[in-house]
Amino acid sequence: MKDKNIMALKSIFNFGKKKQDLKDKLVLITGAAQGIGFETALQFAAAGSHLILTDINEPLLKTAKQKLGKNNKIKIYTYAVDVSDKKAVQTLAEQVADEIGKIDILINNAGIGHHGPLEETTMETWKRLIDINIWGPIYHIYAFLPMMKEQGHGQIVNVSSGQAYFRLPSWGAYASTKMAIGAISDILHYELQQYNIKVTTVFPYVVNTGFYNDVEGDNLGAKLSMKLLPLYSQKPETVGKIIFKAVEKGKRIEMVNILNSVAKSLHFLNPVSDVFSKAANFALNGPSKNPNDSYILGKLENITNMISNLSYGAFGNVGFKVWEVMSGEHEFTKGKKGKLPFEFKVDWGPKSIIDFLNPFEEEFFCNDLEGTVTVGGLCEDAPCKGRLELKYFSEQKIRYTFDFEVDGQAYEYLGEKRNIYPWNIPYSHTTCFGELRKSGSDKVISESITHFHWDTLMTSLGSFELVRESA
Amino acid sequence: MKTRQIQAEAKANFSRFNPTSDKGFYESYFIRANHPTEKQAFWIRYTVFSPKNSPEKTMGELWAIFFDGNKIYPSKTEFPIADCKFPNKNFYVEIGNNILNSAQATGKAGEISWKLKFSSSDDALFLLPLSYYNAPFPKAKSIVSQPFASFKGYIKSGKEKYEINNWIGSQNHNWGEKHTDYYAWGQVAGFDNSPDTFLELITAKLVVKGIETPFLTILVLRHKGKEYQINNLGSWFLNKGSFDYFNWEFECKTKEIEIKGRIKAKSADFVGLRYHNPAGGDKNCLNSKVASCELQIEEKSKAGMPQALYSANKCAFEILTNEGQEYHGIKINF
Repeated sequence: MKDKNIMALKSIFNFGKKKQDLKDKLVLITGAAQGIGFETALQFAAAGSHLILTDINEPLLKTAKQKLGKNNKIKIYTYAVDVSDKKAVQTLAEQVADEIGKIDILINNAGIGHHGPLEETTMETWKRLIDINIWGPIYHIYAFLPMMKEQGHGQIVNVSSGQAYFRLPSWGAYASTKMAIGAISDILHYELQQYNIKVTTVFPYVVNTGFYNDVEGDNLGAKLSMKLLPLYSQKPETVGKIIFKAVEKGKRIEMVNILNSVAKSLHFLNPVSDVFSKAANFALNGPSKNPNDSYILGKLENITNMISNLSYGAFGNVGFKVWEVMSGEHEFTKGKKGKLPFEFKVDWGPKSIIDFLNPFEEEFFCNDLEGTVTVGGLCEDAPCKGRLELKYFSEQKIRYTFDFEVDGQAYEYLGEKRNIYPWNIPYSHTTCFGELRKSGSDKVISESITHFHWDTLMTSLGSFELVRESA
Repeated sequence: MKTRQIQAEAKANFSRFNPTSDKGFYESYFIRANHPTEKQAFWIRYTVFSPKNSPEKTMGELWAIFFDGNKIYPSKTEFPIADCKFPNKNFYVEIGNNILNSAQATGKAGEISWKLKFSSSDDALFLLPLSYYNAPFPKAKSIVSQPFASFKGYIKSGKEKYEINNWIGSQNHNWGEKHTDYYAWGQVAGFDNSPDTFLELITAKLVVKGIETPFLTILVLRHKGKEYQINNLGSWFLNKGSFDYFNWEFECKTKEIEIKGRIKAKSADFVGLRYHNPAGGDKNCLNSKVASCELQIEEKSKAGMPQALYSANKCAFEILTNEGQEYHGIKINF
C-alpha cells in the first residue's frame, strides 16, 4: 500500500524520471514497416534494443528488417499481422510468448487516416477507422498486459494524434478515434501504475509520411495544404526520435509539437476554441456546408485559373532552357578501383513556363533534360536524355534522371542534390550524389559525386534562352 | 555528415591550379608510408610549380625519397607543364607518364621508380577549419585526403627492389601562393602502442607585412574514434609549440583534452630538398619520415593517468627554413 502511494506521488509530481537504459529490451512495434513505426524502430535499434516488428504489409516488413538488420548485435523478429484482427493479435501474443518469451515495451503505432466531412463518411470507413485506430491498440493491450503483469514491469506506448485536439472540420472521423485512444491510454496510465507498468500517450503533429498520400485535395485550400505539407509537417525520423526519448524517460504524455499543446489548451478557453473551429470551417468550407464549395478558396482558385488562362493566351507554350555542367568523380562498385572522371553536360528546362510555375500542375518545377555524359572507364560524351525535377518543397532535393547507351547496352543514371535548405544552398545546391545502373537492373554499378563548379556559373546563366513550341 | 563537409571531402583532391593565373602557385600531392616494423619509409610527391609573374616557367616536378635504415635515397625530375595534367574537376594527376589517382601511383624520378596501389577507409582530415580553405589567409592549405592509407606494390631504388606490403601512411594534398615562411610539420599514421591514432600538426612562424609572428601551432588528432580539432584562430595563439634542429615540443589544450608531445630525429635521418617558392627565391625543406614521436594525452572526461603514446620511427617530420647547411648540417639537394 505504501509503495502504491509512493508511486502515485511520484507520478503526480513527476519525480524519478531518470532515463532508462533500453539496451537489450524487447520492443514490439505495430505498423513498423514504414513511417513513424520504422523510424522509431531505428532509434531503438541504435540503442541496442531487440525488435519485434509487425505490419500488415509483409514485403515492406521484410525490407524494413533488412534495413534494420545492418546492426548485427540486435535480434529482429517480424510478424505480418492485421492489427484489427483480434484472433491474429492473440496468436501473435502466443507466438511471442513461445518463441521469444516476453516483451518489455509495446508500441501501438499502426493507424490509418481519413479526410472528409462527417456526413459524407461512410459506415464502412467509420468501421475501418475504429477497427484499426481503437480496437487495434485495445487488442494488443489485452493480449500483452497479462505477460507484463506477470513479469512485474512493462511499458505501453499508444500513438494518438494532435488532430484529437485540433477539431478541424473535415477530420472529424479520424480525430474522434484518436481522441478515444488518447483517453483510453491516459486513464490506463494511472490504472497500471500499481503493476509497475508505464503507459505513454504520444500525440504526433502532422507527419510527412505516406499517411497523407491518400488524402485528396477537393478544393484549393486542401490542395494547397497537401502541396505545402513538407513545409509545415514534421519528418517521421523526428517523431521517431521523440517517441524514443519519451519511452526512455517514461513520460505519461508526449505532445511532440508545441502546436498540439496550444490546441489542447484552447479547449479550456471555450470562446477561443469556438472562434478557431469556426474560422477553419469558414476558410475550408465557406458559408456553404460543402467543402467543395468553399467561398473564399473557391474565389482564389478561380483567380488562379484566370491568371493561368490569360498567361497561356499571352505566352502560348513558352519554355526555357539552361546549359549546365556537373563534373566530378565516380567509382565502379566492382572491378576497376579508384576514382575516375564523371561529367554530364546538359540543357534543361520546361516546355511550358506556366506549367512549370503552377503548383497545381504535374509539371510543377519539372524539366526535360538532354545532353552528353562522360563516365570514366565506360564512355565519353555519350548522348543522354531524361528529366530534372526540382523537388525543393516536397523532398528538399533536385533529382536528375537520364538514360544513355554504350555499345548497345542501355544505362540509367539517377542523381540527387540533397538536403537543400536556404542556409546551405552554396553546398547542397552544387553537389549531386549519383548512382548508375544497367537499364532494368537494380544493381548499382557505379557511385558518383559531381559538382556544379562556380567557374561555369556565368556561362550557365548566359545560356538561358526562351523556347516557344507553339503560340 | 553535413553537406559542406561532404563536398569538401569530395573535392579534397581536386587541383586548385589555374594555368592562366600569374599570381604564383604551388600544389603538391604526396603519398608516404612506413614499413610496419622496420625503419623504412617512402615519400613521393607530384607537384606543379608556377612562379609569380612568370607563368611561362610553370613546370611539373616529381620527387621521391626512400628511407632505408640509415640510408636515404632522394631523387627529383622536372617536366614541362605541357606534359602535365592537374584536373580541377576530378583526381587524376599526370606528370609525364607518371600518374597518381585515388587508388594508385606509378612513376619514375631519377633512380627511383614505383608502382603502388593504396586505399583508405578513413574520412579526409582537414588541418585547417573548413572555411579557411576558400579564404585568402593562410596562403598555404593542407589536407590529408586519405589518412591511414594502406599501400601495396613495389619501389625500386637503383637496382634494389623493395616490396611494399601493407605499409601504412597517407595521401595528402597541399597548395598555396607561397610557402609558409618557417615551419615544422608532423604526421603520425598509427602509434606503436595505439595503431588507430592519427596525428597531424604544424608549428609555424608567419611573416605578415614584414613582421614575424611568434610560433603558432595547430593540431588535429584522431584518437579512439573521436577527432580533436585544435585549429581555430584562437587556438593558434593559445597552443604552444617550438622547434629547433631537430627537436620539436608542443602542447595543446581544450576543455576536452590536453595534448603534450615531442617529435625528434637525428640529423642523419634528414635529407635536404630545395623547394622553389612561387613568391620568389627558394626554401630548404629538411625532410625525415623516420622520426620519433612521444605523445601524452589527457582526456578530461576520463579519470586516471594520462595516456602515453609513442612511435619509435614512423613519424613524418619536416622543417621548412631559409637557413642553409651551415646552420643545420644537412646538405641541400637539387
